[in-house]
Amino acid sequence: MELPIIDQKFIETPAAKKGEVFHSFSKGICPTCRQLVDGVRMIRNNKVYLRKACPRDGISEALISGDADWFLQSLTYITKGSVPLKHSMPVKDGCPTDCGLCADHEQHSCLPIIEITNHCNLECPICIVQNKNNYMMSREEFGRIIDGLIEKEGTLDTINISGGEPTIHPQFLEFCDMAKRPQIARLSVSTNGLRIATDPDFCRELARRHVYVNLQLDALRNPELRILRGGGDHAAVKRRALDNLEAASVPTTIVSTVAKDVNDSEIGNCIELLFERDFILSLMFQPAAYTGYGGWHFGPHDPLNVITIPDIVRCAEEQTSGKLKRSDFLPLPCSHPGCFGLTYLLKADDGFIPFPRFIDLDSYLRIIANRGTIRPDENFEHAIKQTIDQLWSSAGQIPDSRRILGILKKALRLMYPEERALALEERLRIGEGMVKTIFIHAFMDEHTFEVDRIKKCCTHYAMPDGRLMPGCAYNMFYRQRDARFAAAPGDAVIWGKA
Amino acid sequence: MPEWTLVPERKATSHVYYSMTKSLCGTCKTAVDAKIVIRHDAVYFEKFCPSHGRQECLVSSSAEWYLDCLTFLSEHRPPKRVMKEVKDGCPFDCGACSQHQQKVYLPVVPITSACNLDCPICYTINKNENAHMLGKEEFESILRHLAEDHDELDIINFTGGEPTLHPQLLDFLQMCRDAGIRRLTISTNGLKLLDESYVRKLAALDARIVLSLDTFDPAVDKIMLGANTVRTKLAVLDLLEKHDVATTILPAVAMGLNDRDIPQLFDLVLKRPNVRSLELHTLTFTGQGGVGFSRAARITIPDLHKRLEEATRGGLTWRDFVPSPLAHPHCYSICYILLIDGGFVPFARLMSRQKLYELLDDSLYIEPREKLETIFRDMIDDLWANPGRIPEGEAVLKTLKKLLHDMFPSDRPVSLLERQKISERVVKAIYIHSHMDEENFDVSRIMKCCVGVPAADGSNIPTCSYNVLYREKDPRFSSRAAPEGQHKNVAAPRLRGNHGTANHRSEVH
Repeated sequence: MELPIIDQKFIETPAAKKGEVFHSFSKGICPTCRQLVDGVRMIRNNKVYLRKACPRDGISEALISGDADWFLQSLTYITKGSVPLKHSMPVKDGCPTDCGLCADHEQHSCLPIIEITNHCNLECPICIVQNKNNYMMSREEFGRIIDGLIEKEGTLDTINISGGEPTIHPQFLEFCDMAKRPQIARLSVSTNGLRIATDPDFCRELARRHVYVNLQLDALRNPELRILRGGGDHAAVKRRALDNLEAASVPTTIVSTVAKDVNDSEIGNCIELLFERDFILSLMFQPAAYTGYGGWHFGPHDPLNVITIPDIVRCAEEQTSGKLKRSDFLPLPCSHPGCFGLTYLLKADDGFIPFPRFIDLDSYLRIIANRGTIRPDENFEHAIKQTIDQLWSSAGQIPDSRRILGILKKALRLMYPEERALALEERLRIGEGMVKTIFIHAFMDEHTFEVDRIKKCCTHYAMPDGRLMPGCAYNMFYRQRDARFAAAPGDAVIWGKA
Repeated sequence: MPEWTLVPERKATSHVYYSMTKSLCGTCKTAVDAKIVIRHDAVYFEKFCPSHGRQECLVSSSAEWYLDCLTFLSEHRPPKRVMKEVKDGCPFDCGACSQHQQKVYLPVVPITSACNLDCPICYTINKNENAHMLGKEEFESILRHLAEDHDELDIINFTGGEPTLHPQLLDFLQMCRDAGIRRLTISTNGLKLLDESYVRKLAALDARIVLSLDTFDPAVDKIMLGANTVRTKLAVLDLLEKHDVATTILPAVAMGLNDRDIPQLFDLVLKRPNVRSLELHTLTFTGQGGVGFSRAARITIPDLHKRLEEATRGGLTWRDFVPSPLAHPHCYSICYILLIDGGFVPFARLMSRQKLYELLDDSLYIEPREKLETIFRDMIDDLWANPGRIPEGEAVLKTLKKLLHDMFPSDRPVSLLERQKISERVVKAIYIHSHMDEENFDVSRIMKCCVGVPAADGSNIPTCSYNVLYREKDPRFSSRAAPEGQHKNVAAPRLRGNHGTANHRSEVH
């Protein structure tokens, strides 16, 4: 039997279609006392709910998927994980108390995040962490983390520097230099863009170091931005940040946190932005997770009425007048399929063509097999060649096949020239000019947390003590008692706060 | 680091992680997480107990079957009666608790702890010293609660110990008849049925016999049952045939022991007109005998599909089976066959698996309601329209037309019971049922369990929970249990005599 299974079919009784379906057991957290409790996944009205029973606080229920078909199909949309070269923790008390990683974990650190500070110059109502403004990572700690990551991973496609707001760390650029190692292909920094908007020199420094920027941009308009990010003219900041990044040619990812009934109407605008501006390589939607600061400050929050991965897909279809369709998106098989959805877009002269419309799904899967980003290696070359062959033989059946053929042949010529072999790095840059990506990454909160998902988490916070903490496990269980942040909260200078 | 240094490479996991569930530690039976992983096309639980370390258990020898089951979705029908709130979490709050996800479709009543066999594979506990015999008032109370909890109850199963050792079994059957329950099934080792007058009485009450028949090989019989019962059972089968007692053959199948008996068992089911079905149980390792039986005998549902496929040279394959919509899809694998001149055709080749699944949505066994008439008519129409679709088309048409004419005549009404009898002349069922032990225990499955052990106080415990956790604490059945057990409602009557112990299969018709 081949995994992943693509397009699994389901058989429902007529009563099941009308009523409720018990799908499976799932272990979650009681949103009141935060203890691990039994839950069940229930399907009704083509949506999936996690219903939990806490012996102390009773029943609680949360929406975990806005589209049961997407949820059901994603379950077998799975593939093997990858084993880190070394684990930091023994399996002792069971998941999720042995983080991390313990030898029972099912995926390596595909996307390590290094939080170099918990100082921030914003106080976003939607923030999923609780910034205490009392910690700056030392040079020595950062160096240890980088060494540790290489020791555990061998090579890394990407590492991400985050915070707090990482660009206010006094040694930020120094850290970027330290992360420049032959084993690390890409360094990205997650930022709210305040420094980028005001400091063009800083943007040039980033460009010189080939740093990729993940710019927080949930909407292009202030009313929405103020609800999510607090007071101030955020829209103006974001516009300036975009202009500065473009001027300095910094490869950029737009990161948009989407809250139901706040900025879900902005999804189409964010996608348009991705289409319009060359320096924006990808777009990451993150359905809002109601934990940390945001968990207590952002409201009112109804766990039964939140936005989930397939809802964002639906919005993308509705708000791009058909440029994107539901069938263009698939879960990411190497992560837990409940955590990521994505599509790749091929750049044509007059727009973008989603990969699943012309590439056979097997080849597609080979490309995204164990990572969220395209890696222009032999597999990729093979997949492109195969697609070209298929497009030839099925000429006319796929709309635009001649145009796509042209683009792919050009890509092949540029990335895999016959005269000389290009370095992966070089090919990566060429590929970036031809392919854009839309990711959807769902973090979990106290309402939606499932131990099932955490077991295959690939997004890990890197700790100075060598541990790599699966992101949502850290946010749920460990961050509050992280010894680094034990001191009294520091003073914060919040932008936009009079 | 210089560029030319060899960079160590990460390796892929040897398995694909599918999901997780809650299971039990094989040693201390405390709740532990189980990762559900797929390796070499088979499905395993990988567990870790903080006290007893890593454990692994095969749960399906075919990943394809395992995942196929999970494509079947049925309606959530929670129990009407909730006895307990969630306190310790599933499966430690049984009774049913407020989080149990399915009502009972098959009540299994252990009416005695006494048994006249002592089988090494027995998955229950038997007690002959001070044996428990369910009292008439208690049974009345069980029936009353069942009536309150169900708009309609098709079936009840008597089990033990060995239920035929209960002196009031016939009275109990009559009480069920009076209560309007149609299928009264008795799970028995059959020894008592050598008494023809007893068989006659059972026949008069229209009771159905679920006969444990594991093997035809005396050596295997000795290993599994600790006795030589084959000849006795064949003699009993003749008596049952003589009195036309509807019978189910129930082998508990052990890998490497009686799995090779499956062709002969299937043949017996086909040939004996009073035998309505074959109910294969995968061996489970609970109870006084089972827990010590060699784990090399572990077998899973797809292994039994394979044995049947080999036995019938492809006449049956796993695609001819569907799960029960009333149970967790991994608990039952069900196939119906239509007997035709010179052979049989599985229902799944005459109708879609969707239709077959829908047919099973009201009761654990297909009942000859009007829905079945519609489906038979659709089959006929389909075969008319595509005569060459299956090679046996002509023979199937002939059988179906006769069947419809007899079951649903236009000139007179036919009772459901009568229809059932008519249909059972040409329709046979194969049920594969997999019980759980602590090693393959899956909370998802127990949450949707529809087979329950009812008690006089109205409580009901899912059978596998009962087998794994509760029976041993039940003083009626276990001499190990403290007398102040949880079943305070029961004052067990005393019975002297009846030495020797223990075989029984529960949960069948």
